[in-house]
Amino acid sequence: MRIQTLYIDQTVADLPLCSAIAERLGLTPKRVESPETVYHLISAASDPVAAGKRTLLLTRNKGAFVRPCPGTSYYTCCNYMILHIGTFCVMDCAYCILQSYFHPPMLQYYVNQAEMMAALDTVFAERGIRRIGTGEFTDSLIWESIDPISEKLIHKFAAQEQTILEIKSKSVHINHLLGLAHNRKTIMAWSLNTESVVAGQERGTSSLDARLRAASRCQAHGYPLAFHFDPLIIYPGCENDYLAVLDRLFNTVDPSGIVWISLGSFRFMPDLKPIIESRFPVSKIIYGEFIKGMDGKMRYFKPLRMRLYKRLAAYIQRHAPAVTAYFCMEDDEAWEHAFGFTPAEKGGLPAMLDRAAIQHCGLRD
Amino acid sequence: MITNTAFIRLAQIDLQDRAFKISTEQSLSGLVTSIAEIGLIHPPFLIHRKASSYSIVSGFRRVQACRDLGWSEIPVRLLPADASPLSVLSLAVADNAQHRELNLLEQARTVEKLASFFPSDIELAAYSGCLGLSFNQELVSRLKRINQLSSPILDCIRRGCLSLTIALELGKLEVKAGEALARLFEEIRPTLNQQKEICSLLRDIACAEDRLISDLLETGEMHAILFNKDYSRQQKLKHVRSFLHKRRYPWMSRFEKAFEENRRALMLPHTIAFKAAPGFEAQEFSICLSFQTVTEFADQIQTLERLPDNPHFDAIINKRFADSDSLY
Ligand code: SF4
Repeated sequence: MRIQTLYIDQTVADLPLCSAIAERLGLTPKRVESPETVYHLISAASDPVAAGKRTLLLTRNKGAFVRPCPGTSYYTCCNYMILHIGTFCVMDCAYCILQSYFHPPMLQYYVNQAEMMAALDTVFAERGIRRIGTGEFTDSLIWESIDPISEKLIHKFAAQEQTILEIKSKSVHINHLLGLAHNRKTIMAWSLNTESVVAGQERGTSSLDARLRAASRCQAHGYPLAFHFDPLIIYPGCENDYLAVLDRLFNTVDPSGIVWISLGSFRFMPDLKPIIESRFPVSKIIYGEFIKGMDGKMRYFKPLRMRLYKRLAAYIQRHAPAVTAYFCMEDDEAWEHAFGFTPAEKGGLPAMLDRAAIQHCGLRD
Repeated sequence: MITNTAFIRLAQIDLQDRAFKISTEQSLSGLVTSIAEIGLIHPPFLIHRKASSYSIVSGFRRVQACRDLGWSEIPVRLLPADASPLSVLSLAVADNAQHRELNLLEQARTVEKLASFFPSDIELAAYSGCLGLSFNQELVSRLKRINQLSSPILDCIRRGCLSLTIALELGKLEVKAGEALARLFEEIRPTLNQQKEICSLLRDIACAEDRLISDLLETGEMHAILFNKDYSRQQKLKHVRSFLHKRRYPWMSRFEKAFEENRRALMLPHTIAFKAAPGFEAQEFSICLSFQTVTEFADQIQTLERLPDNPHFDAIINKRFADSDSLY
């Protein structure tokens, strides 16, 4: 998917970054007085999601740059912080919750980066370990070709000791990051899935092999690594397929350099279903056995997801016992069943992840 | 609009011209008797559209009833021949809507006829208020779609077996499936929510299995339910829903069955209601006691105290069911 139209919010048009991005994209930007102008154009498109992936708005982040990850109370959350560099994605995964999360879904890149850096300085000045990621409302690495934001952030994080940056992606734009002095304060992370999910549900993403190779190269350059098996998609034969991915992972990278591995099954707000049905007519992922979870999201029937979790957790515990494996948004029953303990027994999930970050990234409180 | 009262020969009235016909009512029986006894109290509205004949604007059944009675001429209210088509149509709609609630098909017909006068649904909706109707933009667009439905579905609407929402849902399906479902709903009469559930289950199963909904409705299992002479209408409805639920959620259904079997094996009295969380998502179970006396309460407590020793109770709490062990 290529960006075809570039809009620039009038209020940031004079920033040098805007002209640099326009030049890299080879597009003549259109100035707009307010982002709403672009929102209306996208909303009026026959497929607003696809239109939103072809249209980029350079604008100002008027809200907080660093925000807590929107967890819910019933399921255990990891107290992650999100660094809000932009929204949406040029890749196109059938299950992507961002399709129904933003109204309208649209590529926005925040160019008021001086304010972002100031927000990070404020975070760094506070006491306590922090884990911050850029890959929640967008993919961390898709912006690199127009602005090497990760490079800037890696430098920034390398100069402090108590916060780690997690760069999470399904792409492999990493060449320019390899030689950086990261001081182990950046974790390079990839979302992994089975070959059939990558091929069938993840349009425009890098292949599984490419992701694993990129991870291995980052590891060779001293980066701590993380992997996210999220969303796990349940289909006939999925367990063996996921075990095969784990097998390839542990054969490609040294597990001792993996900070954490997360597991999370496919979950979505009900309004995503008609979007997937119309945008991915051959995809079957929404016809799994879902129930409405305690947070209003559709989740796989619990016994089904617990069975998959148990096998994956056992495999990770056997082949990479030192790696911190955890669930993204599950309850104590799932933890107990798959891992044999609840997060509370280990001081809570945030503390477990903080310990892993301290150990691998040399954080100091 | 000024009208003239006149007597017109029935032979001069063009019964085939239905440009202004709104009513879907066909039956004349009561009307013929009433006109025969009391006379024609409300003369129909007519307009002189063609040189040799008059078109009916409102009162199609009254004109027909008078014909059936063998009358040769009737009193009518004549609209000016140069009246604008919209004002004539508006009179036809208002004359119907002022006497009674228009049914769904009449509303759809009204929208269809008015549509050519208004460039947008929103303007048509605004105008409907002048006619004693209160359509909004959304309803106008839905009513327009009614007119595109196939006749078996329209017949079901006419007989009051389908709501607008479900009729439009059926209209989105393959024609054969929509018609088959309309017939099914007419036969087993599910509630609106049950109709929505059946449509959604069928759509999901068809998509998941790459099959046509019409094929699913023709499966042996469905036939065995629908053509079972021993089943009442309610039993057919129950079995259809259960069959579709099992097909859509096979693991969940097995799990629910195992839970139910174990719960029954606890032999709890009906005054002790034992429930799992919806969808087995939360870990909690709940027990609700109903009692009237201290003795009844004490008996129930004794029953509850024995539960931890019951293997079925253990199976439920730990969700370890023989049939679904492989799940956990
Ligand atoms: S890579 Fe991530 S953000 Fe991009 S489309 Fe896929 S799920 Fe959405």
